[in-house]
Amino acid sequence: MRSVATILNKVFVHEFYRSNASFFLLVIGIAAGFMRSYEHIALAEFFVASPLFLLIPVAVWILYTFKVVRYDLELLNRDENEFLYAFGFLPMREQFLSAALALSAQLMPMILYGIFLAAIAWKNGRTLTLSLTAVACFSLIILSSLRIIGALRRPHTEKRIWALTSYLNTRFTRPYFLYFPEWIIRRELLMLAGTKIFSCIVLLGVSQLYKYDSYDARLFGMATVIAFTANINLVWELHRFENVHFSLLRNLPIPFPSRIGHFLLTLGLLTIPETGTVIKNLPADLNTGDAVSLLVMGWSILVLFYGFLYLRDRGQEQMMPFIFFACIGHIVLILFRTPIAVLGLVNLATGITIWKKRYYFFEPVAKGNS
Amino acid sequence: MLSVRNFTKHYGDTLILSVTHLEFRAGVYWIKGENGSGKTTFFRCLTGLLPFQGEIELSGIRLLHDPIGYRRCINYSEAEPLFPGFLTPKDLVRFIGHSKGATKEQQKHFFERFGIEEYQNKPCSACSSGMVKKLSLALAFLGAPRVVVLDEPLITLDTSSRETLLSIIRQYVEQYQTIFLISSHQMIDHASLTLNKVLTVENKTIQEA
Repeated sequence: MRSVATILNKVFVHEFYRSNASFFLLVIGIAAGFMRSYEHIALAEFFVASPLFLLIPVAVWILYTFKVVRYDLELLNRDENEFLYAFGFLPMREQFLSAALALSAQLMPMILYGIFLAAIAWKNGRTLTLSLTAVACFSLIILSSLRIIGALRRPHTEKRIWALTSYLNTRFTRPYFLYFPEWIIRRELLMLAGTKIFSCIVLLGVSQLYKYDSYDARLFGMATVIAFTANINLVWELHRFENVHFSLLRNLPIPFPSRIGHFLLTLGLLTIPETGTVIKNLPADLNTGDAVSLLVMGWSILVLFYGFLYLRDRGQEQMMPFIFFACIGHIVLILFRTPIAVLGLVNLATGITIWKKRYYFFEPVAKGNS
Repeated sequence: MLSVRNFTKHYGDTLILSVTHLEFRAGVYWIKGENGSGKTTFFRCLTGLLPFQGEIELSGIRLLHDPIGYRRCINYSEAEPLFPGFLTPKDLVRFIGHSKGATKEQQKHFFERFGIEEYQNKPCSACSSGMVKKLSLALAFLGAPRVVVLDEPLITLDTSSRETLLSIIRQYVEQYQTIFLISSHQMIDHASLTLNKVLTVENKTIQEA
């Protein structure tokens, strides 16, 4: 039992936390940076006040459980993990206990928040929501464990293709600029959704400040910097996709202007929520020219980072200091009244120059980061 | 003619391969070597997938000076090809065919020759390794390549696909004077394919066997 648990721990749990370190850092950053302890308690009291409100954290837990299960199933599909299919020969009790142990470790953030909610519910005498919290946590652990056991017992089942997918695949050919958006939606939906929600909330929140006081474009400019810098993880994934997962792309005779065109089209698609938020919530004090400058500056930050990634292969975690300093640097420059359009043009020129100069000399090394 | 001069490839500080001078003319070259000897690295450098030091020139087009022109003339099929799982063979053939300048007729022709038609609309993740291998081989013939690099083309291929591949290679050498660089741990039968030369990758260099 102990050896099986150790194996599952190494294959699933370590790997999961290692590759999602940035995601957890972001969650911790948001939780600890934006809310104080009494606000967390107030929010928990709101959740446990009624079974209906409890559905909010439960929905998040369900999404998180999907993320964990999906990740584990992807790991199981790797050739190096085929040895795990011997798991099916173990007694059922041992299979269930070791899978539940591994899944509990992966679902630990959910369990810890569940305990916190249960404690708040207990303190406030909400026995119904207390028991519902416990039921939700146990159900998710049991269901996800059974899903993983099922996958371990039935290796290499034929992949199901949905009728709609089949119809679309027959009728249409995907254009290249849709490759990455589809890939990221399939692979990192939560990260994509989290990034979009975060950046839109920042833009929306700052745009509301203009209703109560008079500011120039700099404040919204700083919000744009934060909102678009949050998308750098997507740019990192795009770079990874093009150079590791679809590396044959480098063998294709695609002229550089076309590569830039493809990239900007993909970027435009990925940042539709931010673009929409900027346009729809543009403060009355700002004009259309300001909106264009802000968007160009936002996209230019992503172009700059994309070019920067061709200097040397860097893992996602190694990017964090650069992201931080770029964000602070842009904010300081905006505070000192550097014209936003100029910032955008300088970023674009720098990013494209580095990208063009380094593209054919770049060599992905950190394959473990994929 | 494909020529390689003063070629070196390092991973970090470690020298992987060094070639002073090599020339390839129309025909088939069998590149042999033990696992890890550097065959795939050499192929990936030749096809512009990895950077290197030195000079690679194909009929006057230098890889480092005209990267687009060079890439238009050289195609590659990997030993264990991997494509994003949600893409279909049709998506890949259309996109890569378009960039390599292959007509719709040529794309259809290779679909038929390699028997990809049946599964062209299936996502790659639902295709077997043999199907993906055939797709990768079909992609290596799209456009008008002067050099086709095939890394372990015979693994996971059934007998009839193997025959198809060998007959296409023969046809390309005769009709278009294409250069083929093939690595294979399986014996290449001289009767089925006339070999220009057999080269061996060992001691971090490539020499005639």
